[in-house]
Amino acid sequence: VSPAPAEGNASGARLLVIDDEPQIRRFLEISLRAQGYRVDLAETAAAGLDHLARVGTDLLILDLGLPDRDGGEVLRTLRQWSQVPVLVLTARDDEREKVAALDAGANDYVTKPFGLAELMARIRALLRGHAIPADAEPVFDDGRLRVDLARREVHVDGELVALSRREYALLAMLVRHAGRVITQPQLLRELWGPTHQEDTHYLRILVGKLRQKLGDAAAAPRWIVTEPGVGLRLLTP
Amino acid sequence: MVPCESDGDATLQFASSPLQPERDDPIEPFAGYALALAASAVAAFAAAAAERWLGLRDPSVVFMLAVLLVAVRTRTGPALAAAMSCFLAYNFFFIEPRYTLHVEDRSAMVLLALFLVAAGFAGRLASSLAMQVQALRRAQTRTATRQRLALQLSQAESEAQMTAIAADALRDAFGADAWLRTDARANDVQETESASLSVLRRSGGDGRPNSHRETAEQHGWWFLPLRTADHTFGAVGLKFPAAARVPDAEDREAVREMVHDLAQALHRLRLATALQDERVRSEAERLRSALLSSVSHDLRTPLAAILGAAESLERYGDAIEVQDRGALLAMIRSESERLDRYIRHLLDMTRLGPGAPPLRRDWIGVDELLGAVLGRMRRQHPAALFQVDIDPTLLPIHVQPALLEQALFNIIENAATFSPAGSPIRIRARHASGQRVCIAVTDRGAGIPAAERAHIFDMFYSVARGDRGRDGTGLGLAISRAAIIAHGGEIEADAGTDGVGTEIRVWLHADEAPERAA
Repeated sequence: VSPAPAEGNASGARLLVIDDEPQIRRFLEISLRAQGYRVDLAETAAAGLDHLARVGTDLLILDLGLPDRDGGEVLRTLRQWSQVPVLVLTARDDEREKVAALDAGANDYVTKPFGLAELMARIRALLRGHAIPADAEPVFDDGRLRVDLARREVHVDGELVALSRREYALLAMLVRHAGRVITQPQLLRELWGPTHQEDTHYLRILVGKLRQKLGDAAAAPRWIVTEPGVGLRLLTP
Repeated sequence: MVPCESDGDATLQFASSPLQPERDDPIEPFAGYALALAASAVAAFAAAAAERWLGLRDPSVVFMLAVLLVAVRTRTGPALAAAMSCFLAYNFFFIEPRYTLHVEDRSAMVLLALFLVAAGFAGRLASSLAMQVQALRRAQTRTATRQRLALQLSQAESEAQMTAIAADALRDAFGADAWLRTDARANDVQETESASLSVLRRSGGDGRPNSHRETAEQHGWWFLPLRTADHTFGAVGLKFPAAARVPDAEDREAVREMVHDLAQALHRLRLATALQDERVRSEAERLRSALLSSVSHDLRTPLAAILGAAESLERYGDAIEVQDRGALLAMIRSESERLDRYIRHLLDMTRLGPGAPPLRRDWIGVDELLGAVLGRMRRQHPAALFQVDIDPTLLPIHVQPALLEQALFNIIENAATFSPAGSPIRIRARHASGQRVCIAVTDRGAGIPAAERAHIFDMFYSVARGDRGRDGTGLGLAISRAAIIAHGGEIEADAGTDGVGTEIRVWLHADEAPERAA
């Protein structure tokens, strides 16, 4: 494994790919190396978890359709001892499976077949999110939207925006996971508590109000993107 | 006892209460004779009174009246009894010497004889007239019952409905418990019945030999085959309760006719069902062959291109100009995307077909759905332009988000395929009548002839106008329609603004939101 930085964004980060399909492993290895990452490969969940325990990694790319263990089970096992960011690959175009994987501890997903640009963007977002140390200044700023988590202040184009307690809580949650999708169940649990996981109607109303106050439009979102049937994602610059 | 469980003997053709062919009068015989006696007594008193106070010399008319009254109320037997008792009373009380049956006067003798004959005739005439009126009335009732049954049967939509209607009609008309079965089990009953009929025929009787009548009466069921000239559909069993009137020959004929009407209705229904099944089968056959040709064409064409491009690069890569190598690589990518789209469409179609799982509805804003669709469109068709206009007062809708997103994506992608370059696709979302949301997608392409508009949502329907998108799978709009119909919505195609291009409109229910506010 020799890291060969190719493009400017090469971080030298270490990635582990667990996928039973040799073609997928092969092309991921080639393209990820070309992007300057160090790549480890595993064919089964058992081998992958073993590698994680012994060597560790900066980011895990996990195929959900492994022959030896169910993807959700792998995620739950992993989450007992590791907070490494996980990007899930799924061949089934079923939003329930995505939500289940995200709820089991995955940080994001791409659906096979996926575009390489999309995959790289997801990996970058995950590595960046993970790289922010817990004690760093918790501020999101993309030039227009500025969210100061310490002061609980939101500015759009320099103007202070007054948000309700819940609108702010939603925005703060999106900011803390900027670039990653947060599932509806996760949002509902966080914002309304565990007894309101079916109340997605409130979430729609709340997102609508938040978008309105930020000057965002759902049909052409600048910040808050809805992934139908899955959840919400805050776009990162 | 359940008829179909009974043994062979029980399943006889006729199994009702004791057969008394001459009995259908409204007044029981004993009561009839009592009435005859009472009428004679009343007539005697009336005649005595008339003689005493009105000076009526010959009271035979009073007795004649009594005979007639009894005759119209009863039947021949009591009528003749009335004639006889009136004759005796007339003789005993009014013919000299009175209070004896002895007659001295010759003319009185003749008068008495004439009275007896006239009373006999009149009684018989009157009673047969009354019986005819009764029979007529009953025939009318039967006809009306049968017409009502025919009407109800013609409106029934299923076999279960038909048998229920017939059972009700038989119960109403004859007070009989009706049992109907239209399955193989009931055909067994019918076979048993045929067998017992042959037994009956061999016994040489009138079809109701004593040995069988016993079993019949014991079980009290009358079974009839449910059949038309060519087909048997099962059997009908009737049980006449002890309290009900015993069916006469005409009742039985009426029952047979009603059962026959039911058999014919069942026959009609089965023919119609068979015809419908045949239509569905041939439609399925058409789809199967269309699918096969589509699979072989739409899967193989991109595969051939991918294979060819990859092999070219592998074998002659060094000899190919850099620019052409780039073109081949781009082709591999775009053809793979086309393949992916096709497979996605096939999968979507199987998810929406018959037996598809129920929708998993969730709340989502129309603007959010369109945002997701447009995001995908911008990634996959960067050149397409949009003009979006969404009513900001629209409330979230309750749908299966990913499914509806795919439906709208297919419609908008279709519009993009037919739009001339540089001309934007117009997307509008508005409130519509009946608590609905209307989403309209308008392109300014070549448009679709009015006659073909309804067909563009059919599977594998390709509009014969030469400019069908190369990437079209013939499934996109069919998926849209299936998804929207699954949501209880509607979809239609129309000419675009000013008759240019095409407008596809989708209506969806805007359900009531849950009560509590966020």
